[in-house]
Amino acid sequence: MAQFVPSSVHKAIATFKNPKSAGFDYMASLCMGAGWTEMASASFHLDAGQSKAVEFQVTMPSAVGTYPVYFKVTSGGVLIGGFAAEEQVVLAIPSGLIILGVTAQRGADGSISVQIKWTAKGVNWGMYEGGPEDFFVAGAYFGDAASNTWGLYRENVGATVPCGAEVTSGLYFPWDFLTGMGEHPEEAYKYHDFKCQIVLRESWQRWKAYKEYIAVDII
Amino acid sequence: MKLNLQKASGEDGHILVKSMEMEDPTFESATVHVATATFQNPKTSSFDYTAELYLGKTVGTKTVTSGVKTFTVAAGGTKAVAFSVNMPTLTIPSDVYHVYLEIKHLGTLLITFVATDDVTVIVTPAINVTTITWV
Repeated sequence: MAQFVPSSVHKAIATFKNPKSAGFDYMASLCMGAGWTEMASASFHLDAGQSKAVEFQVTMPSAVGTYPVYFKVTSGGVLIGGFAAEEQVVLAIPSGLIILGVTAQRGADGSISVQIKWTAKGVNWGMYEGGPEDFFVAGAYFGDAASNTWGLYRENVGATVPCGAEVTSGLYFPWDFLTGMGEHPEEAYKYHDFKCQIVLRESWQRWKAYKEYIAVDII
Repeated sequence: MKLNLQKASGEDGHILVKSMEMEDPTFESATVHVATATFQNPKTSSFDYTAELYLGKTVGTKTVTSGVKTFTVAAGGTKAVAFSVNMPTLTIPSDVYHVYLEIKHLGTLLITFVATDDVTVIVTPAINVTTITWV
């Protein structure tokens, strides 16, 4: 049984076979839920007897739950089959810190904007009774992932977020920051990649690293 | 449905086809269907006959055939003969064929009839889903 985080994006690869002696054009829709909500569709042709793997890019529903998966197939505008997948999809927020996505984009003025989307739930902190209360991005690094060179670092960036929430944090790094860490301005552009360290704060004074370093290309 | 026949080749008067019945004229590819013809012997003697029902584009071009059926019709009598035909296996979604009925006596062609209505053979689209993988 496939298990994903709500609203996350995943790909379903379904293999279809034309059992007939003639080729046909098909339109297949991947549906989820008892109401057969259409999530993605694809058009394809199958020659006689041919099998083909068809990809469906699916953004999962936002609500947790168990979802049956169906395929609805038409040919020439006529419904020729509805299929139920043996496995259902379970959408749940698992325990722990889940990074849903990180993007980084350089502005025209040389600044860099970063979007980090994450969620956290049910973290067991053992000895840290009474906490934790929230997460935050503890450090932001810029550098080059290929050479694993991370020369620029900034502490405590972005706002804190409550435990269990799904949050998108926007981080903005102006040009003067990027060039103010002892680097030559012209060298700021050598930073191709961004990675960050997201931590759970146990108290204002004590925090513990929990998930770190998601490297992404700076567009 | 009842099929009406007309002469495609040969001579009249040796044998009559009183009626010919078959199912709906649209058939799924590679399925078996039966047509039944009732023959009448107009002569004063009993005769043995062979008959073959086939589908084709032109007379003598047998795309699929019932095979040769042998039967005897008494003088002035009638005989119903069933012809089982496996429809062509198409590689295109549909095709149209003429229906021919060829009748012989002692190997000599007496007459070939062609139905005034054609049959349509189709392939109904179908599909199977064999595996689903999530990534």
